[in-house]
Amino acid sequence: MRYKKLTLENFRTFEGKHEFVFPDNKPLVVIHAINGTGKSAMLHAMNYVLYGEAINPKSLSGDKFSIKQLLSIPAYENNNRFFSITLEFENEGKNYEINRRTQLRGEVSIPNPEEDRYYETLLYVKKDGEVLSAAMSQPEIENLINKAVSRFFLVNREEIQELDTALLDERENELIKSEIEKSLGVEVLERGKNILNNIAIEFNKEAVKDTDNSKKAEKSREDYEGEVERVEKAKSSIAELKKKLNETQEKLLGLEKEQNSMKSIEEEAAKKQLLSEQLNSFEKQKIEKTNSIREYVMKNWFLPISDIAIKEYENAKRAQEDAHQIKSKLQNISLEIKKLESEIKTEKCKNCNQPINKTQVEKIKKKLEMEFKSKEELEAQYIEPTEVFPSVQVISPYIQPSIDTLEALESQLASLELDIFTIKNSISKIDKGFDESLVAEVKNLRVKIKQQQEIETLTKQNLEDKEHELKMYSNRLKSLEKDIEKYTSDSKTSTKKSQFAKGIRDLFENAFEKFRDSAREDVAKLAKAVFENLINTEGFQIDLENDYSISLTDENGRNAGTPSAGQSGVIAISLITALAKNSVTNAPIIMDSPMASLDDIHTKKVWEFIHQIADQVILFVFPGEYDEKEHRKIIQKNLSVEYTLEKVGVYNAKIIQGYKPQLLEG
Amino acid sequence: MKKKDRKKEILDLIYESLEDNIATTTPMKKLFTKNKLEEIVEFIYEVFWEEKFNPDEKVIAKKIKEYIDLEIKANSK
Repeated sequence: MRYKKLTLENFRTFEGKHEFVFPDNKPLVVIHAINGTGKSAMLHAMNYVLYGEAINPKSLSGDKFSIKQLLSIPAYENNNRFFSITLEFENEGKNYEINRRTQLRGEVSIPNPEEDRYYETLLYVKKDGEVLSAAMSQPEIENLINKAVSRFFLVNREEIQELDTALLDERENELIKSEIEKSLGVEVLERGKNILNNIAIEFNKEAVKDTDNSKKAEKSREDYEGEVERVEKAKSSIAELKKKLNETQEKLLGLEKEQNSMKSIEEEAAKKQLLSEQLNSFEKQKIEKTNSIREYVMKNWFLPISDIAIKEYENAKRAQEDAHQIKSKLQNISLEIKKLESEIKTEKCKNCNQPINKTQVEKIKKKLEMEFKSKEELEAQYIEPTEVFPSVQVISPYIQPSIDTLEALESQLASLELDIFTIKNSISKIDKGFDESLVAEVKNLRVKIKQQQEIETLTKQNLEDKEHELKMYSNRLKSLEKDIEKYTSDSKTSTKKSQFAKGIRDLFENAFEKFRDSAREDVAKLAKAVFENLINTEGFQIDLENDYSISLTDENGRNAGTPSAGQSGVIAISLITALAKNSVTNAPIIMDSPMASLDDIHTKKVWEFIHQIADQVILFVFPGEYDEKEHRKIIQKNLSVEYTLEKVGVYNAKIIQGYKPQLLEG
Repeated sequence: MKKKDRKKEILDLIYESLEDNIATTTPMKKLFTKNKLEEIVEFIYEVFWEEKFNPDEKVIAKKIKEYIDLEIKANSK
């Protein structure tokens, strides 16, 4: 892997856009800078572009820089509240471009947005010109330079000075050891064997379960045999039922043909039947009507004599009127008699009070006689009006409705009798030339058809049931077949899988054991060799323990005590070199002030050696680490490019290509 | 100083382990030929290598499990 270009915009000391271009020719890149111009900023930028965070090396608890801290101060003050880092590199023939841009969220409008929550970070990763999805971007980066091993490739000044001490600290040692093993690829095997172990456990569980499966297979086999018997029985029942159904349907066909031929008889018989039913109904109604008339008459027994009663009543009424007239006449006659008798006696006219003569008296006497005769006659005729029959008058209004009801009933009865007569006529017409025996035959035929139809329905139902049964048995048979196959093969397959996974696991375990030791030995050997090459004190050497902690020994093999600052620096460079050469990660190494704690002799040795530690080595050095006269000829043949960071004002820096010592004068 | 090809080195070690007398590897050696076993081992190792920085072990385990499953089933036919 080689970095090709790093572009910083508004990041730390780099207000605006600034570029480092790394030509692809030689391994060494040297960036000269004095404090405060952005040496460390580039390491922070690398961490930020790769992992989206930058650790503040001055923080004891490993706090990250806030966004505000990473944002160029002048840019922030000029309201350019964003920074962007772009890293272009090549790895195994593929070109990558990573851009991480942190900017103020659109909705934030407060004047001084200092907290991280006001900002958002966008990541774009291009691989051979294609933009990767958001989900794929970070994993792709992690796969190339995993964050866990980044400390060996992005080496800050503190790391160089304190790596050996950190390895002696129990807690830190655990972490660094795990990172070293990850870097060496030991973890690939360790993780692999652990994953394989889990898989082996899972397969083993399946195999244990499948021991039961072989029992299940045996049981399924027994069930299968029973099921086969049931299927055979069901098949034979179905064949019988089909035969029976055919026979029944043939019979039915014959009977229905016969029935068709006797259809007219059947129709006539049906008609007669209908008429007979009607006749029965009418006769029944007739009986009911007759009964109701009888009942009515019984309840209204006097009705037959009602006409006589009416006549009697009318006569009585007339007699009554006559009696009144006679009575009136009699009264008039009696008055006339009294008048006449008085006139005779007084011989005077009652009307005019004049005397009357004898002749007149005689006339009056004759008249009187006549009056008496009339009176006698009338008295003979006279009946008291109260003696005339009186109830007729009362009964009269009740008689007429009864008469009407009775007449209506009689009329209905007459209509029924007419209907009965008509029906009887129709029946007798049908009866003429009608053979009763044929009707009986038709009836018989119908009974037979009905019987056959019932048999047909029943047979069909039985057949359907049996076919359903057969389907069920067949399905069960198939399922049992599958079970037998599954249980048998599962049992065999799961045992094979279990055995296979265990084998592969142990293969990886074996390789892991070998590799862990050999990788550590490789690192130890190389670190020791590098240290021997760099260290100035003759006979001093380092030993790498199993946990990668380092001890310094003197020429007699005795522990040389705590290394000096310079020795620590050499130890760190040795170990980082050994790790880089043995790492599974093939990334350039960026180091900040690797020779800060070294004396001139060690510094010179490091300059002579440093280009070898990786395919691309980028060094940030301050003036004390680099001496133009001493080191130029050493680095020249391996130097790819050189930059000088120029301090501009209080907060800004500029990237100038080449070595510019005048810009490095504090 | 030449950088070591760790990937190849590890794979070679695994192949080497195939030659070792490990009791639990006998059944699988009976199931597959040496070449086939090397092919299987290489595939599994390739997965571990490619996914070496993938924190989700379940995904890796699933891939390997499915692969073993397929190979064993194919072998059983």
